Amino acid sequence: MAGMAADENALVNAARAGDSEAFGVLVRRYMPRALAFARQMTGNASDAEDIVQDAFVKAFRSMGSFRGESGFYTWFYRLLANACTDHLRKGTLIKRLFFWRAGAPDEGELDPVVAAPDTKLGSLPSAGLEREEMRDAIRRALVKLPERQRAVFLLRHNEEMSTAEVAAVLGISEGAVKSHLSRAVTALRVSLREYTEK
Amino acid sequence: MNRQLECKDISGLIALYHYGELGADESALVSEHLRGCGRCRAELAETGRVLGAIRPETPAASESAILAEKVMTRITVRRSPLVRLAPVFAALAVILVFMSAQYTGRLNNEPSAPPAGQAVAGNSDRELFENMDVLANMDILDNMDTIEEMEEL
Repeated sequence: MAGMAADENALVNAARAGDSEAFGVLVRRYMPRALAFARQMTGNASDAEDIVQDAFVKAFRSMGSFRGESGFYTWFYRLLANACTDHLRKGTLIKRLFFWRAGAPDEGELDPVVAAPDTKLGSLPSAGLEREEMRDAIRRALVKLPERQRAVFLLRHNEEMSTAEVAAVLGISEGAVKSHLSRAVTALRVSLREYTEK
Repeated sequence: MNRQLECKDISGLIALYHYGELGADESALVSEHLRGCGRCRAELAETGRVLGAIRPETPAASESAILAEKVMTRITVRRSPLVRLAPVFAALAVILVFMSAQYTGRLNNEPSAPPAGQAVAGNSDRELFENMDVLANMDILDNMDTIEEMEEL
């Protein structure tokens, strides 16, 4: 673990000096988690890919301003979480401005790519269907959460960040993180109760 | 701290208890309540089941690899300085065209001396209005970042 941190520090220092190869190692290391986070934040695979790409490019261009006070991972997640939030707010604004347009996706409607079944899961069709039904329910429940609660929940639960790290990433107090987390979990429990009782 | 928590208090703390986010005192109070309350124990168990079902939707390795390559292409492809400065050159060209047009116009239309007593200030106002386009184009220089982003698209 210490070796990995040292390795990361070396990569970050090299990237700060403009070494794109070193930055590439960081990109490949964090891409799966960043993409998973953005997908669950936005509920849209295509938007998530664009957001993640832009966040990494922005991170590379801003490496000079990264002082190393937090880990690269925390710093990068701040960029990514802000990009996701900006995207969601822009979407909300557009929906409000063009409220008369028919066919606009409703709250909680998912991008078909994100909602597509994972064929690798389960050998029995019925088990696969049940699991897929559960996954779909989870996606819908997550998309229904207010964006701040969703970000707090995903960073704490999926990214396993500490409360202090989540607070640093989102620029809010630790008390606010706990409050959002508690509300998010209560909402998810209510939404998903029937699926876990099966 | 010598108080007992009630079920309604516990409900708001269950999530934090699950994640180990409560302080030692509060955690001890919740544990004590849970020992004697089946309903809250069931709520904690349900929370555990729901949260246990939620996992990151890790993308396929190939998807991540393709996207990482796209990022690296955007980072490493360096445009030549001439291409990067194209909007600046364009703005300068527009300014030069306007200035030469003004200059040529003046040569062809050399104004006679203003009649005695007429205010000369009108000339500078007129020039300002004639050059509004140039002023508008100067915004290009303020929006270089946006232009660069658009070029990448």
